[in-house]
Amino acid sequence: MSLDFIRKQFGDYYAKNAVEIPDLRHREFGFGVEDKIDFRHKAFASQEDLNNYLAREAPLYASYSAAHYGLPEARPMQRKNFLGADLVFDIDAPSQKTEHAHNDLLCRVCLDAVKNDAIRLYEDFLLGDFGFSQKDVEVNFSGQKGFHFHVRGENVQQLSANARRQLVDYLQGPPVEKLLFESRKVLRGPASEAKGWGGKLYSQARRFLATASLEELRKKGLRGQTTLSVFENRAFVLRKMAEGNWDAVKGLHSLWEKVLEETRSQHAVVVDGAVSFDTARLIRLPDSLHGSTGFIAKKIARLQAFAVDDALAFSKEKTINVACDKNLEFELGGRVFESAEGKPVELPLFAGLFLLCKKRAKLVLGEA
Amino acid sequence: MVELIAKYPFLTQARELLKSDRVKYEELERAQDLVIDALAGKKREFFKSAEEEAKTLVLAKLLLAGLQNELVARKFASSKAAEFVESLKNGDESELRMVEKEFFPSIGANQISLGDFLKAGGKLAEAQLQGGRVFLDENALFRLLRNAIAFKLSDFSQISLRNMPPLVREAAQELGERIPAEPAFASAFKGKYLQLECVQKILKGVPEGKRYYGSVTLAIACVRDGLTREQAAQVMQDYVNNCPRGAQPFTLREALASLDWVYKHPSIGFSCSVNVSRGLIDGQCANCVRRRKR
Repeated sequence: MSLDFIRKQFGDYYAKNAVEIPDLRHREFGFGVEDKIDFRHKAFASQEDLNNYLAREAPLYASYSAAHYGLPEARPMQRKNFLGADLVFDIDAPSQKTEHAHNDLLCRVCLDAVKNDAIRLYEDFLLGDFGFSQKDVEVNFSGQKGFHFHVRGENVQQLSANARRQLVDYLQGPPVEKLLFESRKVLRGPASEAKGWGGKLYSQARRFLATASLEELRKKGLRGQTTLSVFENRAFVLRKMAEGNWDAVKGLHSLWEKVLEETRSQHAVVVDGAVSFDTARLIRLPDSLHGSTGFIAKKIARLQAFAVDDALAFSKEKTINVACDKNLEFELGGRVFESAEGKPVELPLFAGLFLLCKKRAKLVLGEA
Repeated sequence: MVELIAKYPFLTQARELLKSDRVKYEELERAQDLVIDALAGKKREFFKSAEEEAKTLVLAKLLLAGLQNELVARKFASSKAAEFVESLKNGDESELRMVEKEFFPSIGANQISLGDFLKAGGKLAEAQLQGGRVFLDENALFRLLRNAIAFKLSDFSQISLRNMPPLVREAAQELGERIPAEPAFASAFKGKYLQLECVQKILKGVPEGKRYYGSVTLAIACVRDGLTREQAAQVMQDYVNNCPRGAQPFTLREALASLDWVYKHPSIGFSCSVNVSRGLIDGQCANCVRRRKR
C-alpha cells in the first residue's frame, strides 16, 4: 500500500514538473523501484518522451549515463558506440569524521559537512586547480546525502578512465614523500612559486611558521634547542623555504609532515572514485526524485545557499497519517517532527513521504 | 619536414607519406627487425627515407597489434620513446618545438593544459597545477613527452584485427616466435591468494563495469602473495587479455594503475565481502579454502 501511494505521488509530481537533460538522445537511462536500477539500456527520443515515461511509470529511482552513445539502447555495452562522457564527481560522505549526535534518519551535521566539502571541491578544485569554466559545471543535490557534479565541457568528453582516476586521486593530495624529499642530504620541499598541492602546502607551512608562538611550535612536537632555533631564526627559515630548502634548521621533517597532514585535511575532498572513472555507470537524473527520501535531486544554482529544504518536492499543506517503526525525531521543512513507535501520526505530505520512502513508517488510512 | 619525419616517423604528418600499395614481405621483415631491436635496447643510428621509416613504424605497430601481447607492445613503445626523446634532447630546438606541438597543442611558456597533460599520462598528484594549466620544467616536459610518444606507439585502438591481411597476420605470428620467450609465470604461479577459486575466476576476465574492481582484487592477491611488481604486472597482462573489450577496452595501463595503487598501499587486506558486494564473487565461496579455515 505504501509503495503504491509513493508511486502515485511521484507520478503526480512528474506530471507537473519536467526534467531536462542535455544531449538526451545519446544517453542511456536506468530505472528502479525495488533497487536503484532494476533495468537499464533504455533511451528516449525527446525530453517529452522521458517526462511522459516518468509520469506514467513513476519509478522510485531514475538514472542516466554520464556517457554519450551513438546507440544508447543497444546491448551489450560494446554495441552502444561510445562517443564520450561527462566528467562526474559524487560526494556523499564528509571527508572528515566529527563527533556529533548523528541522526540516522536525516543528519544536518553530516549534510553541512558534505556541503562544505562540495563547496571546496567546486571552488578549490573544479574551478581553481582544474580550471573548468563555471558554465560547464552543473551541481545537483544527490537527493539523499550528498552532491553530484557534472562537468560537461568539450575538453572532458574524451578523458580516459586513467585520466579520470588521476583527477580523483588529485583531490586527496599526494603522498608526503612526493612533496618533501631529501636531495643531497638536504630536505627539499615546494618553493614560493609552487602550484597545486605544493602551493597549498607551502602557503600553509609559511602561514604557520610566520605566526607560531614557542608554545605552538612545541605542540607540533618540536623540542629543546630546535624550537628556539626555529623561533629565533624564522625569517631565515622562511627565506630558505621560499627557495625550496626546508632544512634551514635541521630536525623539522616531522613538523613539516604534520603541517602537510593538516593541509591535506583542510583541502582534501573524498569522492566516490568509481563514479568518476567508470563511464559505464549510471548516475541519478538531475531534478528527478530520490526513492529513498522523496527529495528532488535538485539542480543547484548557488551551492552556498543550498539547504535540504530546497529539495522538498511535496506539499506542506496536505497531510497523511503514518505509523513509525520506532520513536523518531527529525527536522525538515523548518519544523521538528517527533513520532512514537507504532502510533499513527498526522504529518505534512513531504514529511510523511520522507518516512515512507525511508521505510521507517507505514501508511495508515483514516485519521491519526 | 621530410627529414623530421625520417627521424620521428610517429608524427601525424608521416601519414601523408604512406601509400596504399600492397605490403611486401621484406617490409614486414624490416618492421619485425625494428621491434626486435627496440626490445633488445638497440638504438638506430642511421635513418632511411621518411617514407620508409614511416611505413616501417606503422607496420611494426600492426605486427604488435596482431601479436596481442600488451607487455611486449609496451616494452617496444617505451624503448622507442626513450630513443626518440634522447634524439630530441640532443637535436635541433625547432624539431623539439614541432614534436612538442604535436603532443601538446596547448603548450605555452613552460606550461600545458590539464587535458594535454592527462592525455600524455602525466602523474597529476604532484603536478604544478593552477587554473587548468600544468607548469613543467624542462626535465618534466621531456618525461611527459616520452610518456606521450610511448602511449601513441602502443595505442592500437584504430587497428582492426578482423581486417588484418593474412600476410601481416603470419608476420605477427613470426614476430612472436622471434621474441625471446618470457617465463610463463602468471597462470602457473601458485600463491595462496592467486590460487583461490574466485581469484582464478577473476583472472579469466570479468565483464565491463567490473573490470576495474577485478584488477584491484587481483592486485591485492599479488601483494598478499608477495609477488614483485614485475611479476604482478604479468598477472595483470593475463587478466587484461582475458577481459572482454566492451564499449571501451580495459587496458594494461588501467590495470597497472590499480596495481601501482595497491602496491603503494600494501596493508590493504583481501576481503571476500568487498568482492561479493562488487559482484566479483558468487556461488563458488561455498568451497573456498579461506572460508573453511575461518
